[in-house]
Parts: sequence; structure tokens; C-alpha cells
Amino acid sequence: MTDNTNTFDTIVVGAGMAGGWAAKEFSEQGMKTLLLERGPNVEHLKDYPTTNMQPWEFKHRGQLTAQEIAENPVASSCYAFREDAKHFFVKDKDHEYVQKKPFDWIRGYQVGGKSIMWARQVQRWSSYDFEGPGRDGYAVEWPIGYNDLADWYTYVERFVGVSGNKDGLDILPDGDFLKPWETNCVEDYFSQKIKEHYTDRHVIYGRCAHLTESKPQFIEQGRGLCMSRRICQRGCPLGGYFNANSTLIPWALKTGNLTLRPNTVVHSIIYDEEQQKAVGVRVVDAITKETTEYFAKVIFVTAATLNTNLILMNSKSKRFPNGLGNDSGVLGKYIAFHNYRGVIRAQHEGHANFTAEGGKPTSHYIPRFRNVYRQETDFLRGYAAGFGARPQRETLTDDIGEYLKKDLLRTQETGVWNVNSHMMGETIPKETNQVTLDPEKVDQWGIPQLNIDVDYDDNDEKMLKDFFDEFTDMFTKAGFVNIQTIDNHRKPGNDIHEMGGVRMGKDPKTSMLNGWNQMHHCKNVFVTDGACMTSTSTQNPSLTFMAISARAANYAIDQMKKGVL
Amino acid sequence: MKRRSALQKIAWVTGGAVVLPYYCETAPELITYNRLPLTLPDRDLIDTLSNLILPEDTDGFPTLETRLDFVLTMVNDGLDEQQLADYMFGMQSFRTHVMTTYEKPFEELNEEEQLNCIGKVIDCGDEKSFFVSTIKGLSLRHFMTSENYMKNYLKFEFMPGRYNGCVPV
Repeated sequence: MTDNTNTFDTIVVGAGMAGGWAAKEFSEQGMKTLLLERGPNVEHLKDYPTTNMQPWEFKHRGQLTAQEIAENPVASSCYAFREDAKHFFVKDKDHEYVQKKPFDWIRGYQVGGKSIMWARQVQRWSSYDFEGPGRDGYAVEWPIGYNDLADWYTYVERFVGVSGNKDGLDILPDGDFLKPWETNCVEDYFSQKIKEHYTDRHVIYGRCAHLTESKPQFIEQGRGLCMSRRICQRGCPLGGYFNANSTLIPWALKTGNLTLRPNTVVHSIIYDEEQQKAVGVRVVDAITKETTEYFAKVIFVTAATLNTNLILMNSKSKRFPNGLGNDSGVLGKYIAFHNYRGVIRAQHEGHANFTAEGGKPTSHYIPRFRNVYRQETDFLRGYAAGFGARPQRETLTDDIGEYLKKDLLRTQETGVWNVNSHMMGETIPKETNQVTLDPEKVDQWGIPQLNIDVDYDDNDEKMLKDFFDEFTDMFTKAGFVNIQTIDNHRKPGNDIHEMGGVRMGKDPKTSMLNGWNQMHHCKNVFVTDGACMTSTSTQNPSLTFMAISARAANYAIDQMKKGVL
Repeated sequence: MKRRSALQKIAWVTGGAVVLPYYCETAPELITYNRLPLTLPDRDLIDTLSNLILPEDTDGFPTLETRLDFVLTMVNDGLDEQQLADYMFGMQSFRTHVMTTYEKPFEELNEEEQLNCIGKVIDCGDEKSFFVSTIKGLSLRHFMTSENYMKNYLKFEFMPGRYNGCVPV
């Protein structure tokens, strides 16, 4: 089938955050674009079935059933896979994969992808993050730096809407921020105490993708202010937080240049040996299982990190017998993620006469302070951390009968504040942390299953210990009591920040993509989701994926207009 | 734990297969709780226990479903196979315990005896304790997630639209 209805200027594979950005840029600038999504459509407002449900309206009060847990050991390991948002997560049995080592592959197959259920933290990378691999001699050097991305961060932030403070930190550059939510007295207190004791550590407001101010672009998107419902994972009827469904997708559709095709599983990218370039994609209809081909000048693969790897590995041709563009042999290798194993909890007794009212959709953030300017520990890189504080409530439930009822009605805040922090550690990309196509097992569309072989290493263990030591010190200096450190033993993948496998780099012999996210050896194919990441740093990565996608899409448009692509 | 050894014994008797150690026909009225082989007297016992532990207050703390329906739904849907077996075994064991101790069924005790019995059973940490504690936990959850309790006692706000982080008490 090569009729015109199957031919476009650009094809974007995957309608999540990264693909949504590419589709928006292309269609806005006149490119006839096909956006493919393997899962069903999720239309803003229309397809948020639980969005306005009160807690008492849920049959199981948010809890999963025993059967759901038993059937979904992977999905149910995710904090957000609960009664209110479980319909947005992939069920284990529908999309099997092989765990050579334990790996929680948390997925959201639908238009909007995981942008519906994400945690909405959006911190920029700094130059120190991009310079990491080069300075410390791991992975390969990034072909881009902060200056290449700075304007694109701004571009994305303006459209997405990011609430933040101008903190003036070189380790976490400021962005184009909407006003922050109010902080609480214990967050402020801890921030002050850390400032008194350290010059290199900062406790700041966690920048989040929520609208705290109205702007013309948000009105045009049809979005209202965040009302701090803090149930974002269900989809927001106000458009108060950013997801692709309320912004990028309708924006692109409005141009008339976008064709959105949900329920379409991409099997592989078609490489034309004569033209020496990719010419299209081979797809399987998720429901009818019918095979179709679509054609375009430029293809963006943004299927989410591991699926992008899978599609490229499954795109075999005479020219590329080991996967598209894989002359270097690094495709599928150097997978990395974030180490979220460390949690620390304590209590603060110093603000007994204060409480907090209402709610806010973010907490505080402590940017990386380890090994920023030079190597100073026995492990590479470092970790960022979240920080939260909330008044403790006591409800006595020991008794029974009328006494129990009386106790319940006497529920009250104790004056103590519970404080906590969790680490977000950089893991080092290694050749041995890799994904491959399973030689035997296939999915229900006949596509090989992914075999995942990813694990922690000694560097991660040392970093975890350092987090416990340093945060115990910091909490102690702040006067917090009952300090508890907890290794939650989360498996790799459970952070939902898997990255790499199709990394960017300067040298085609050791990387897959150049500084514009173009495949070194197949120039009209671009990868701009987490798969392109050379290293992971510590920040929640979505903002960087979006900035990279917008930048690469505009480069591709420029090259198409010049006739190069 | 005694409960575990009791279940191991049952598993041994039945050749290793884990089966519900409580044999009866599910009452047709209770067919929605399809994993729980309950009789009507079983249902009534659970209802009685739940209301003794935490009296249902449908006027003050109305809920969409009855207490009994919530408890049975959560037991039916929320417990895994082992926990369900423990729960059913615990019910049987609770009845036996009451008969042994008071020489009459629970339903025939006066309220003071009933409360006294529940208090002691919850603390004993065995299979009958699991049965009663599960009912207590679910009764608490039902009450504490009622609209009135969440809004007026736990300060729950569905859409606060504001955050005041340092309010003098």
C-alpha cells in the first residue's frame, strides 16, 4: 500500500510527552504528520472516568483487589497503580517481557502516554550534568551541553507552565516560572538550617508543571489554574497540570496537519537499501492485527525508552542486520535509571504551634551536592532528593464500641511535624545493563518480547549509604528526632526513569545519535525520548526529553525545508 | 503463629492443596461475594461484630454502601487466597472459642460479654484474632472514609485551591 493516504511528511512513533512535542512542532509548521500510538485514545476531559470521584465513592477506597495485585506484580509495584488510575497502566499479562534480572517496567500505553500519571517535577539539567561523562570518564561525552538546550527549556516551560522560584543556583538553572505555591514553616525552617550549616546544599521549592497563573497561551490551550486537587494521575478536568492530552495533542490537531492513529503498534522502521534511508514504518493494528505501512520523509521514534530500543532492534535490513543504525553495536546497551532506594523519615517538634491548611501539588527539592565541581567521594556522581513536611495527626483506634467512636471523633494534630526525604541517584550507564530481543518469545502482535538485563552496582550501593549518612547529618543538624533510614529495595525500573540504549554521542563508533538526535547512520530517523540519553543525572527527566524533542523537531523541519532531508 | 500451624495441618490433611477449611454452601443472597462461602448466620455474625466494634451511624456519618456490604466486599476482593482461608478458619475458630468459653453461641451473650469477648480475642494474636481484627480494620476504614468524617474531622478538601503553610494553631 503506497497510496497518498499512507504518505506523510513526518511520522512520530508514540504519543507521549516526547512524541507530543514533535507532533506539535511539525504540524504547527505545516508538516503533514502522522502520530502513531499503540494504545487507545484518551481525549482530554472525555476519557478521565474517575477524575471527579470523591474518595468515599471508590468501591475499594483506592485499594487494589487481591486479584489485581496477583495478576500484576509489575504494575502494582508502582505507587500510582491504584483503584483511581489503574486504567492508565499497562497490565502485566497484556504486554509480557523477559526479566533476565528483576526490572519493573511501568508503562502507560495510550495517547498521552505516562504524561497523564507522571509526578510533574520539572528541574532543568545544568552544565555539570551534561559534562559528567566527559569529566568522570564513563559512558561517552554528550554532544550537547546546557547552552544548546537552555532556550528550548524556556520554550517548553512557557507552553507547559512551570511553577517555581528563581533560586539562582548554577547546579539547577532557573527557568521561565509561574509563581510558586506557598511553602510551609518546616520546609522554610529546614532550608534555613541547611543554609546555616552548609554552603553547597540548598533546600528549594520543587519546580512543578502546574498552572499557578493564567497566561494567554494557557487560555488558548483551554486550561485553567491548578486547584491543588492532588489526584493528577486521574487526568485533570481543569487542565491544571501539564499532560500531552490537554495541550500538545489538541494543539497539533487544531492545525489540521496532524493525523492521530491510536491502537497502532509499530513493528519496525522500513529501510530502503537503494535510497539508503528509512522510508516509513510497518505497523500492526492493535485490535484487528492487520499490517499496514506508512511512509514519510522523516521519522521520530519516541515510543518511550525501552520500546524505542525494541523498535529499532526489530528494524532489521540487509544494511542493518543488527537493528537500524546499529553499526556501533551499542544499540540496547548502556541503559541507566535513577536509584530511588533511599528514604529517610523523622519528626520535628519545633513548630508545634503551627499547622498547614489546604494543599499544594509539589514538595521541596535538594539539588545534587555531591561531586558537582570535582570528584570528592569514593563513588561517581551523586543524588538529588525530595523533602516534605506535614503536620502529624493522631487518631486513637485501640478501643472498641462507643469508646472507639469517641476516640475517632477526637482526632487531632499532635503538634509534631513528620518530615521525609527520598534520594534520586544517578546510575552509571554500563554496557552490561542492556536490553535485547528475546530469541523465542513474541507478543500478541508477533513482535519479539524485550529481554531486560539491568541491575544496580557497587556505585549505587555506596551512593545509597552516602545519602543515609549525609541526610542523617542534615536532619540531626536541623534538630529532627526519631530519624529512620529505609532501603525500600525498589527494583530498577520502578523509578520509571529508565533511559539510554540509543545514546547520543560525538563518535558514530560509540553512539547511535548525533547532537541533533539524528541517527549517525540513518539521518532521517530521530530519537528524542529517554532512549537518547547518554547519562541520567539526577533530575526528573521529562522536561529534558521535551526540550530535546522540540529542538530536534525544529532542526528536522529546517533540514526538510532546505531539502537535506 | 498458631494460625499458621493450624493451616499447615489442614494443608497436610488435604494433600497439600490450600482449600477453604470451612465447608458450606454459599447463601444465594450472598452470591456477589463470590470468593466467600458464607451462610446467612455467618453474614449476621460479621455484621454483629462490626457494629459492636464500631457502631454504624448512618445518620451522622452516611455512606454510599452499608457497613456490612463494605466489609464483605473488601474481604471478598481484598484478601488473597491465604488470607481468605485464614479469615474463614478464624470465623470457625472464633465460634468454637465462644462455645468453649461461654457455653453458648456469641449471639446469645449479652452485650457486655460480647464486647469483653471481642476485646480479648483481638489481643490474642491467633486465627480468630485475624478474623475479628480484619472486621475491625475494615469497619474503621469505612467510618473514616465517610464524607462527614473526612471533611469535618480529617480536614479533607477535594479542591482546596490554596495552601497556607504556616497557620498558627
